[in-house]
Amino acid sequence: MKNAVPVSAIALEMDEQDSALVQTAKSSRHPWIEVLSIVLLAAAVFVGLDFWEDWFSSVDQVICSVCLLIGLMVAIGRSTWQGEQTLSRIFFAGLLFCLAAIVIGSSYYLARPQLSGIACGLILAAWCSVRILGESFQHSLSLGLTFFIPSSINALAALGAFHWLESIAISVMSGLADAAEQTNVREGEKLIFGLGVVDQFSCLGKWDSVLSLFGIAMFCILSFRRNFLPGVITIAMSVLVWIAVQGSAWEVLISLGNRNGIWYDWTFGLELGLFLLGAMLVVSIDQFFSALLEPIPFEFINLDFPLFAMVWNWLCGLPKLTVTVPQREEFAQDDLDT
Amino acid sequence: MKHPVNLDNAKWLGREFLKIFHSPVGVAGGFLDALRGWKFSRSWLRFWFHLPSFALLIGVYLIFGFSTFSRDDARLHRFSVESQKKCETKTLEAICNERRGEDFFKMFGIASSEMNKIKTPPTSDLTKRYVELLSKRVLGIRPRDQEAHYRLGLIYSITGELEAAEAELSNLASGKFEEFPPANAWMAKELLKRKVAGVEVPFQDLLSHLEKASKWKDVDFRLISLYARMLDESGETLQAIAAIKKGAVTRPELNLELARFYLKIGSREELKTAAALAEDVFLKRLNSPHEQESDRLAVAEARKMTNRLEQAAEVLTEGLRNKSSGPATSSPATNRELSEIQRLIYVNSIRTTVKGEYEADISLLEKVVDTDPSNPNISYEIANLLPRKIKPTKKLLEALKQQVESGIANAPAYSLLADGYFAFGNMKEAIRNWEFVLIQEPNHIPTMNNLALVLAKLSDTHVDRSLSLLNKALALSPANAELLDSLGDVYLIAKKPKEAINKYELAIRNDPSRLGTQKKLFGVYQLQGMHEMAKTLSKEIEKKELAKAEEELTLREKSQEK
Repeated sequence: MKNAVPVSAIALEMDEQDSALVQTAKSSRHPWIEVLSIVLLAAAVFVGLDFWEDWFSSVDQVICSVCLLIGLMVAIGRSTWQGEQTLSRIFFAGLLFCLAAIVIGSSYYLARPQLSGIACGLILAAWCSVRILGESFQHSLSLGLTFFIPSSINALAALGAFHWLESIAISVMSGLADAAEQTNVREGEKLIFGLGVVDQFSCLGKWDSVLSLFGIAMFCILSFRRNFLPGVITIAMSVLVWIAVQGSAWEVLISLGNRNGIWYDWTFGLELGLFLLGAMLVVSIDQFFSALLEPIPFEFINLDFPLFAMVWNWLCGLPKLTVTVPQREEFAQDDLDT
Repeated sequence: MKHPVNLDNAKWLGREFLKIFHSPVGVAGGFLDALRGWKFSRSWLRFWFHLPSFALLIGVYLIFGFSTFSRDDARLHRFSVESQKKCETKTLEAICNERRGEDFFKMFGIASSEMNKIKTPPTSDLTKRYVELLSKRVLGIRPRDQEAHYRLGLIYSITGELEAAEAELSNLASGKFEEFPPANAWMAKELLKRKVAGVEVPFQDLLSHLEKASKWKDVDFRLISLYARMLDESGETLQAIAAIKKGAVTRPELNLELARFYLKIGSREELKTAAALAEDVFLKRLNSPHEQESDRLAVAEARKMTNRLEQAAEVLTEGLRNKSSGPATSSPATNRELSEIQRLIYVNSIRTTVKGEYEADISLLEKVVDTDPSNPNISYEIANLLPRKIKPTKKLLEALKQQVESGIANAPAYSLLADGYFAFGNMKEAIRNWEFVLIQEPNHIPTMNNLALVLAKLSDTHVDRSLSLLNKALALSPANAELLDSLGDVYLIAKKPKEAINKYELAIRNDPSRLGTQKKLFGVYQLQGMHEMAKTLSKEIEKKELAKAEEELTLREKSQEK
């Protein structure tokens, strides 16, 4: 037997003859899924009311949520809905619903409303796994993870991770400032300049946009990337973008301030401008990496030696490669015939 | 024939991997094909479009990396150079001195420094902030950097944060790291300023700072002068001279102070040399754009010390002439010094004739009055004309009157005037002038004595004041026979003969040659019916009178022989 060839592009064309097997979400059975989802979701929101109230009290957290929501909608819209409703999907959804119920109970019993986000995520993942039949369990889970983000940020803040991030940002800042101006001095978590702008970073409780940029990065992951590597790079880059944008703005203001002998304040308008610039840069960088890291289409793969192309495509996240493909010999025979 | 191929098929995957061993060239070709495929399948327009964002991030990362991982010594050098470029340490010192003000040196009678003549450039607050931050950066890398500590201290001092400045500089001055004399100089000036403001300053601390500061080659020479004076005050004159001499090697201005010391210890030859050197230094500064009043005064002082009074007066007159031709500014210090020199010229002009009479060129004294009518020594010299039996001119009398009325005459002048009025029997004026003396010199014993006697003789009601004056004088000079004699007189006026006898006896015991007191005591003994005592005393008086008469006779014979 000759080499079997994986042909994803052809496989993706979704043979018409298989359409008889396809079930749509609208014609699905198990209407209790929606009822259960809504009940559990209401319970989760009710238990975590304090947490959500607190979460939406900050501008950047609202922006982060909006970005996540748009990303989620786009991701759901781009999903393949047609597929086979298997028992394992029902079982998996049941498991997630149970977990969500346990988390809601714990949240209520332990008086930890921040767990509400995790419960919401689990409910969404359960619903997606039953209704979005053309996608895998991982896909459902990744959509559900969107709701984990507020809770995760809350937990990270409680663990002091943002102070740690702030410390790193201050080091980067002092390094950047050092390159342009000698006149800065770091005292603890404070960077003092000759003249110019505010002298301190703060990651929480202010309009500082790191969370917003995280949200935008997640939006990019959900909307454009359905694979792991560019997504991780984008979210990691969002922190660097934040530092770079803020640092550059600092440098410009300090230089101007020092040259003109005028004190420049860090204003809301400036912060807003920087946020928009940062958002643009995050999307741009995401596009840059996606351009570099997108899969190699089938027509460019040497069928005799597909190993590297396969590995690359596996890393970059090619769509399913599990359907049948024509054999090499037949192509060869056709060539000979002609 | 169609064969369904499943990529999950482990067999197929295994075969593909095994190609690495049995067909490595093919695999390499596959790798190149994959690369080519990768290259052709990219959307390069999208890539180029978004590249600037990536380049920006890489730029930020590299800048951060290079600056963070640059070597400490390179950074240290960069910060130090940058800091010095912004504002040199010498400029900082000059600004610091300017801010602090150096009037306190005048209080110690020390001339201004050459350093004062450096015009401090206008320094913005931003520059100060720069220097502060850069110094802190240097200290962040090398916490024991003395120069950075010093500059930081100076900046604090300039911006008025005296506590912070003192914390920095006292630490440095204590020699905790190593000796750093500039910090000692700063501390010494600060302590001197406080001392002048009336705050108690430990003498030893000040001395120690001055000693360490004097080791600095750029030290303000006035600090060395003060150090020497303090050593002199604590009885170490030779050490003071040695310190000044050492300082004078690098700071020739100190020769003036050295000359003062030589004058004090009476070392004529060395005085001449030091005064000549000092004169050279200050003479060079005259008629230059940086000339200061103190330079002329220094030249005049050097000449005065070597008795070249005419030349001293000449340099000051020239200075006054230059000033009057330039912008109208008063120079009271020069006027005063010139009038003092002219006074000395006048004093030198006083001669005694063969008959024992005095002769003086009164016009010289009038010149003194013309130069500086407010010189308090004028009244003294005019008053001194009376005992010398020289008739003062109308102008001099007018000057004297003015000084007395405005209360600027000095104590010896008032004292002389009082003595004169007393001699002419004008008790009221005599008392008034003695009171002036006591205002200026509250512990002047002869005045207290005279005033007490005159007051007691004038009226019984003044006896208490007289007694208190004499007791105060006796507390200052307990064995003074004259005071004891006067106290006896006052007790007699107060009708306390026993106390009077006691004091007279004490006076005679302290000074047995007091014939007058013995006669007074004899009188009181008789009045009190103490005849035996009076008899014994009268014999003694007779003996002394005889001896005195014999002595006078021999003296007269000797003078006749001559």
